Amino acid sequence: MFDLIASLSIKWKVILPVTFILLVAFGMSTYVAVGMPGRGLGVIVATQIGALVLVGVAIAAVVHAAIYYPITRLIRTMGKVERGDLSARARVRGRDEISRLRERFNQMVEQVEAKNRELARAQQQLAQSERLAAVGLLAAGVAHEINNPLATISVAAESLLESLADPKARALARAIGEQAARISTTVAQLLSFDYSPRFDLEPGDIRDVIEEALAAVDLGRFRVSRHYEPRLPKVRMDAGKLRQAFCNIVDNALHAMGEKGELSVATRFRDGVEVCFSDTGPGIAPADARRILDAFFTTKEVGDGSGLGLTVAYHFIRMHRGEMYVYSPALGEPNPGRGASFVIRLPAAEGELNEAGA
Amino acid sequence: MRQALEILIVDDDKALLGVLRSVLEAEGHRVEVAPSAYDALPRLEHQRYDLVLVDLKMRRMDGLELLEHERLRQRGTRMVIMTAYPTVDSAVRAMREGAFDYLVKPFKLAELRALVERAAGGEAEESRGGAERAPDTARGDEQEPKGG
Repeated sequence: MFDLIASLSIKWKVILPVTFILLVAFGMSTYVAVGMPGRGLGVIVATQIGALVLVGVAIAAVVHAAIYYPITRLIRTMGKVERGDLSARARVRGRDEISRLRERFNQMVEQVEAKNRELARAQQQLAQSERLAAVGLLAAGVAHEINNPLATISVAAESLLESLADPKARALARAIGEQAARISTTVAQLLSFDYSPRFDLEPGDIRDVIEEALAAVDLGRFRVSRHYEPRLPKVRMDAGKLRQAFCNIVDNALHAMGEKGELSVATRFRDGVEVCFSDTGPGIAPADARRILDAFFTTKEVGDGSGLGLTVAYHFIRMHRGEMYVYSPALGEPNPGRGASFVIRLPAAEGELNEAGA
Repeated sequence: MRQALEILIVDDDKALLGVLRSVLEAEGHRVEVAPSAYDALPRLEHQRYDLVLVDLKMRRMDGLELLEHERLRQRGTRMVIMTAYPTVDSAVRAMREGAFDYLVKPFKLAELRALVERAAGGEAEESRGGAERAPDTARGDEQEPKGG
């Protein structure tokens, strides 16, 4: 019964009850006028007026229920959305015009919400890439201002070292030279990243990029095990930027392991192309986990790292519309027998499969 | 064996000029310094130097401009570009302009000595031009990932 009423259009929702009311009122007044002869004219007139008032009230109630009430509710919901509550939705019941209006309104809000989310994401990405560009600019500017005096200091210190005979004085001169070299390494590290915001995306085999990254990093005495899934879709990527991202992640893993350990690299295809770098280091402390991607955050010894490696890596992966997840036993993540794992998921290029046996 | 060279150092960093001069003079070379490319020009006009060390980034006229200027006139002079902000681009340009070497600041005393040695001994190297070296240097432009 309710469904039947709900399915009626507004026109019928008003016309039917009003007709019904009018018929009842007409019947009643006829009954009073005709069925009760002998009553005075006053009674009849009073009954008629009473009937008219009842009819009026009833019609008003019908219009209120069918039109006024749903519209004010919709207006209230619209007000909520207007004030920024994009989670507000109109309740859709039935199939009349107002319900369809609600439905369309909900769809519009959903679209706005989706666009909003997209915008927020883009803004976040932009802010991060701007931050990095600023770091790049700063590095370039600072490099010049630091390296120039550094050149004077290091040449002077070396020259001094050669001319001194007293071992104590020589040690001091040597310290000056060594510390100048340390500053120079830090500056070189800051400059070694490619901060340019340009990304040239082309489909390619992610395993090639991993291999290039592994070749570029000094693996020393670390063991590397590879677990590549044979059939892997291509990824649309800027190979240079992605290689740098992987280099930074691998570098971080090797550093975490210290003297020796095993780096395992795996690729697989699950809801995107996944690359997993796992190390056998101590893992990541919960307190550090939040800040691991912050620019200039580092747990390395002073002078050992700029604190930009993972920031840059994450940024480059995000620019590929990818994600990076960090797992570590210390974070309560099941990662048996391992230190930290970095899982990178990149969207697969549609319909493009790498040749088998790569 | 060691040969005394006529050396001109052009840099707007006076502290570096002083230190380099004292180091190179101690090695027995005759060293002049100029705090800008404009100060260097008249000297280059009137005297022939065996080796000219020029800073890349200087106000008004930079090292590469000076290099371009001088390359046309002085064939025997070896010009070395020094820079505190090395880029592949500027290195390629320096080599194209016929620079003898590209010295990245800060450098070790040993690097400087080796450079001066090469400038002194390398008459036979005269024919070595920068032009054919440049293209394959340019290829390295994409990326030089640094592990450390």
